Amino acid sequence: MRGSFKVLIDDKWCKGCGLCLAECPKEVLIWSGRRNAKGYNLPAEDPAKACTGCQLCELICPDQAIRVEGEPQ
Amino acid sequence: MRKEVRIAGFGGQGVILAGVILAQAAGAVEGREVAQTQSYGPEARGGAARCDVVISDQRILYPKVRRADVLLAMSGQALAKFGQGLDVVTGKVVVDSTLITEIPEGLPPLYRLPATRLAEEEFKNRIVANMVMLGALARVDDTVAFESLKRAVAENVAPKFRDLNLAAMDRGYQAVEGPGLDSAAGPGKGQRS
Amino acid sequence: MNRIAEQYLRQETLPMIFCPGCGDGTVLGAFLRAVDEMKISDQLALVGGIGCSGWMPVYVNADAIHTLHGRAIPVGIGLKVTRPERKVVVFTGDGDAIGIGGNHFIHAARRNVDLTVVMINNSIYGMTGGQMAPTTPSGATTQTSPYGNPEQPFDACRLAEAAGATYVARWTAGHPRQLVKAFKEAIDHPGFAFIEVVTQCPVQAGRYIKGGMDAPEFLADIRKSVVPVAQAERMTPEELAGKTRIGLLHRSQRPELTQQLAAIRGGEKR
Repeated sequence: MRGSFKVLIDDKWCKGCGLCLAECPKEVLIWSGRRNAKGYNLPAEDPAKACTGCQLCELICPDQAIRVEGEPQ
Repeated sequence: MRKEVRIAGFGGQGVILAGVILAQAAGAVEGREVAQTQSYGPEARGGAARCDVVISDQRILYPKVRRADVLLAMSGQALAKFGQGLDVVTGKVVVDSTLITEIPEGLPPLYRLPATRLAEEEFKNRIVANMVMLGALARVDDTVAFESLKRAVAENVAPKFRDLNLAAMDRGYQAVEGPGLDSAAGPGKGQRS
Repeated sequence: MNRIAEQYLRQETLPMIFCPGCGDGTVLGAFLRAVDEMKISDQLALVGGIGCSGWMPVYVNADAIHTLHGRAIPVGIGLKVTRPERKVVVFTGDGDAIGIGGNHFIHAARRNVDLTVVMINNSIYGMTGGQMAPTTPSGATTQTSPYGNPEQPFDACRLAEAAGATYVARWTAGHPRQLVKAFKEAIDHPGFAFIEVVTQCPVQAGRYIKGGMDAPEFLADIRKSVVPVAQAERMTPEELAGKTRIGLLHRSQRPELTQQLAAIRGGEKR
């Protein structure tokens, strides 16, 4: 898919399991170095990479903490 | 003298193991009276977990913690829940400053150390954060001797993880900061005689 | 949080009790997407057994019963027989379905009750601390098999098919899109529909059986161990050794229990 997409990660529900990092075919997600209130390490979008909107991270996230937003062109 | 210690945090942090090791150190190693109780949810990770240890030189008539003398808090939730009601003069609170950033009002003297961060960065294993906290306990309070805790670790932890756990405990002993502590103290100093 | 979760999860019950990296949440997400596409959330009646997977219905904004260990399927049968218009979906684990509730499982399949049974297979008793289950691989070390599992595990899908299930599919937590499709097929299927989902349990199975694998490693390991059915047909028994077939394994039609009961009552509706 082409277009402009953003991966939004909900700090409150993320448990830092790393499945989204492993799942992303374009390696768009990286560890942010930030933690949430429960002490889980949070992922973030690598500003140098472009999300293609495949939503694999959203589908694999066990805690439904990911939302991929954007419009296909 | 009766001493009440409460260790609280999330499931998966080793809160219960830390309490069991403390109880073993006081009971099996030092030969004192000890009662250890615990509470946790059905989830193996992330739920609230608590372990209470009562240590006394006399027979223990009531086994649960009524008012903790020392609280080891490994989550903000645990500090908020158990921090209130402690004796603000004689009580002591040790917090994992990696995970606890907001400190409520009305707490006894506070001791801090970034236990989870030290475990992750220096020992590459966040699971030893509980041992870092126990090391800090030995420094801030004379509940049990540091050597007794070390012996209890050696008896409770699988041989291949023994050195890792002992090193983590030493690190906690050094790293904790708070009122009346000499920041340069190394392990071996300030022990209960 | 994504739109599906916002719409269908009971926000006040969150976070889910599942450990970081547990496959159960992914499977629940796929189920919610199927429910969303079918627009059937108000017709659902969910049943959860005991174990981690038994918690899945608890979080869904739909009618749900959380019942006794091993008894999720008989509760589901009771529900379906009294309220045949409901779409009854049972969430159960490997221990719950074919260990403790094994007899209920084979008889529900034999009776061809119109249920969808989702069995989360993590090959271990996870919630209670990593004990050996009827699905634990031979030779695997667990808390209760320190010298290796001396038994042979059940193949739940073959068991279901042999007992008379009319829809049998197996997927893994690494196949969320295929799971959405399978849930839709199973819910629409008039008869006993069984879906086994092989999931990663990084905390218990990861520690005891897989020697300390984390969630991404465990999921990659599961994906390596499975073969799609069409591909498996072209493989020799030697090539298939140690592999698990995934996909739609069986589909057939035969009389369904609640319809048979309705016919006995003269077809009248209560």
